[in-house]
Amino acid sequence: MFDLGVNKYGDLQVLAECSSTYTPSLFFTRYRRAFIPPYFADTAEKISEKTKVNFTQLWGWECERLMKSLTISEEVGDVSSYTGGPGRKGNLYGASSRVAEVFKSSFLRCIAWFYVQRLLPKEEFIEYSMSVCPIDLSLWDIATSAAPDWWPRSDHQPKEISTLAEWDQCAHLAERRVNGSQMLAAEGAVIPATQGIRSYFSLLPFAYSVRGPISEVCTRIHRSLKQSLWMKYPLSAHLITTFDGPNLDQWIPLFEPSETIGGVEVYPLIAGVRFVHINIWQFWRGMHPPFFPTPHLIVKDGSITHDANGWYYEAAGRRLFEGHDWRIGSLERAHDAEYDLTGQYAVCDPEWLNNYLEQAGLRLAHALRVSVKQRNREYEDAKEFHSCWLLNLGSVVT
Amino acid sequence: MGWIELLPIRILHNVACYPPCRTAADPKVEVSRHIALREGVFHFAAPDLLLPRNQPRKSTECFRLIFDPFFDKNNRAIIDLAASRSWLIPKCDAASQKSQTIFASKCDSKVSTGKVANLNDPFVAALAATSIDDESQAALQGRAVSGDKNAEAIWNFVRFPSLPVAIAGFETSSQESSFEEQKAYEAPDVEPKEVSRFLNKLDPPYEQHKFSRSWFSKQTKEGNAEAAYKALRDWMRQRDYYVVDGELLLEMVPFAEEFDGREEGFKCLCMAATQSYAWSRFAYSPKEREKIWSLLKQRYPDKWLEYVYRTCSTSMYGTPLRKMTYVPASPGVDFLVQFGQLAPAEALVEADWGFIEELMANLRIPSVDWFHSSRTALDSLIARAFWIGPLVRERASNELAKLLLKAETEAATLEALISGLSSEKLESRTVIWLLPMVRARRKGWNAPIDTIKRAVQTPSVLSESLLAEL
Repeated sequence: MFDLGVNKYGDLQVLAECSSTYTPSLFFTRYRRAFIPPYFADTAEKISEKTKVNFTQLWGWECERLMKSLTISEEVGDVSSYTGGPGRKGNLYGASSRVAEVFKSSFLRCIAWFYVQRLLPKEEFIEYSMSVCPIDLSLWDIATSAAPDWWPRSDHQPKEISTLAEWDQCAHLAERRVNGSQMLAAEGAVIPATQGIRSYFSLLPFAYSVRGPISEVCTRIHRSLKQSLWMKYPLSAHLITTFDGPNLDQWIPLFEPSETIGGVEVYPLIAGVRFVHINIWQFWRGMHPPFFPTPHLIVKDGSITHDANGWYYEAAGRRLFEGHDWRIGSLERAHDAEYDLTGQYAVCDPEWLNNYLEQAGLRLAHALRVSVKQRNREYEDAKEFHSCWLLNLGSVVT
Repeated sequence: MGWIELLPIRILHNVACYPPCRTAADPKVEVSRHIALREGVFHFAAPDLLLPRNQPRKSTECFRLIFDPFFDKNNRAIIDLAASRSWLIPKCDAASQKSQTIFASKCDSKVSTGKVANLNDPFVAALAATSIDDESQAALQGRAVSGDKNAEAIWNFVRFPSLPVAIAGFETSSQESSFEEQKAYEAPDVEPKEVSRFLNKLDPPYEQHKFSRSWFSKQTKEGNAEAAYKALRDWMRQRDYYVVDGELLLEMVPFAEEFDGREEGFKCLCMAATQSYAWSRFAYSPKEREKIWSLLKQRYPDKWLEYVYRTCSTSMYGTPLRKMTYVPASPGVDFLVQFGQLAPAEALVEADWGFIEELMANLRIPSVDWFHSSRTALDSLIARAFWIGPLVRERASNELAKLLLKAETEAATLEALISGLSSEKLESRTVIWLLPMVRARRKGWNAPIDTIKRAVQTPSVLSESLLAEL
């Protein structure tokens, strides 16, 4: 574990000067959710509620003090010229101006002060501080490539929404083999063909056994699978190198090993990796947490590795799991009416997967959710449609 | 001298305001009287830019001045002395650095700075590798295609995967009609007494506009003009004319006049103009404006002044304004000329002109010195590491790491990073200084750990975690 360095923070004692009657400036109050991700303001409120000490007030005070000491005026300035804009320009993801750096630095300092005052445990001190880190060092090594040829794509010919080509393509993805490996999971935007129709899908695997009469479960199963996340323990070594080394014992599964949903016992096979930091330099990997096998599939002496093409789970010299992602364009700006043109997929060694299923006496199925945004004009709000299916679970389940 | 276009480099709308200058004109910054009226905006170019197109220019400063004369409550054309100004300057700071190098092929011909990015220089090449915008990438691609091997190598690195197919636009035929699951606005006949309830169920504004226009047209053809007109009129009044269709209002003018009298027809025309942004310099077709003015001339030539008053005192949402808005200069002058009011039109132009001259006197144009400064490509690259967009930061940090890994660039890069790190006053920015070094270390760079640790002036648990990775 590295040195926490709390004693090294410059002039931290100055925070004791914040008066209990201090009211944060209007600028801070107005822009603390705009200049930096709302995570910080939400965390500040959470801490205030938990500790009964007004963290937001202290943060505002320190922010104002830092701005004054750096002679940064409380004004929006040119930032909005870069960050936002109506119409096609879209919003700039993760913009960080000099004012934003002051907001983040003062947040870091207040977190340290709260820790020094024993108002926060060490885990939370590190977790909240790490959020300022803009990138995971291991993920930084992995290039985001182009979309694979087999990725679902829209048809140029407009059709009824219920007959879009992508429905069928997504449904058949689970049967696909990629270089001899079995497709395990995939999610992301469908390659679009028209401005008016944008689609997104999420195909997630699970093992199951039937425990009773099956009711309407599709959306619930998908939601449960989507909420399955891994997170590295905040006090673990190499916190910002997630895909290095064999330290899976330092990973915390933030989900139940199994869950009975409407008569189906569901065992998630894939979970997203939630980073301790906000991976803002590669925000698409933060918004769509990279797939990784759940503990059900973890084997003895398995380790996590990566190279320039993807992230992997390996054991005894065999590559059991591969994760890859892709993007089109820079993704620099977000458009509400469209899905970001990015996606990820996971393939696996079929023998490894089947071994688990056989030993556990379970069967494999997938939950597929497809969303479509449709609009007829550029400046129109898109209408969004969602559909969900279970694949390979039998005709009794809808 | 003729009109000089704004320089064709990417520009930033800098909304800085400067106090209006009231002193006598300084001959050094004498404003040329060569102005051009385009889309309602008077464009000026700074004196040193008023050169023939192919001659080198001394600087890249240029600006656009927007000013708006008012019509007061008594309908007199009055110039608003608190005119607004906005500057267009080449992107400052990091963006200009990009201009300095990545846009060099463009700048070479357009701005004549004499600088072309020398991609043999590893620092310049690193800077070019931080390009993510279309224009910069196109410039790189252009150089790559023309045989520049360095540009080709960078282009192959920086290019983003593109869409495998061309995307069809919104204008493709039949897309709309074939895609709607159910077109509510094409519902079967609706009785006039039911139309209000039906419209309220439709999505505003497109469905409501679409339905109301086609429904009204159908009703008039079937001889139900009066009932249809009154039904729509009542619906519009109920909603206080909030986001109603300007085109429909225009079609309703003769019916309003017939069924409710001349005054109502005129009000309908004024409302059509407001709903159609008829005074706007932007986003409005002159053809549509012409249609409204032509109807005004044809039916209510005596009411031109009242038209100005009404359209300037109602918001584009149909609601009354607390104070009158203004008539922009160029549509205002056009309008006055069309209604034979030559003297007020001339007065308006003259007043505008005089005001601009006064405003421009002794005007100091912000200095943009990137093209002439002594800053190096490495300085620019480091500035890019603190650029507002995260993708640019990531690329710059990556390039700095690469420079640390090259023997010929390591010393200068390390020196610059250590220098920046040791003067950094913010904890979050300290992390940005450290990341290239940590990345380079992970790729085999022999990091001078003690030197780096000593340079950190604003440590945090985060910087400690990064130092632990060295």
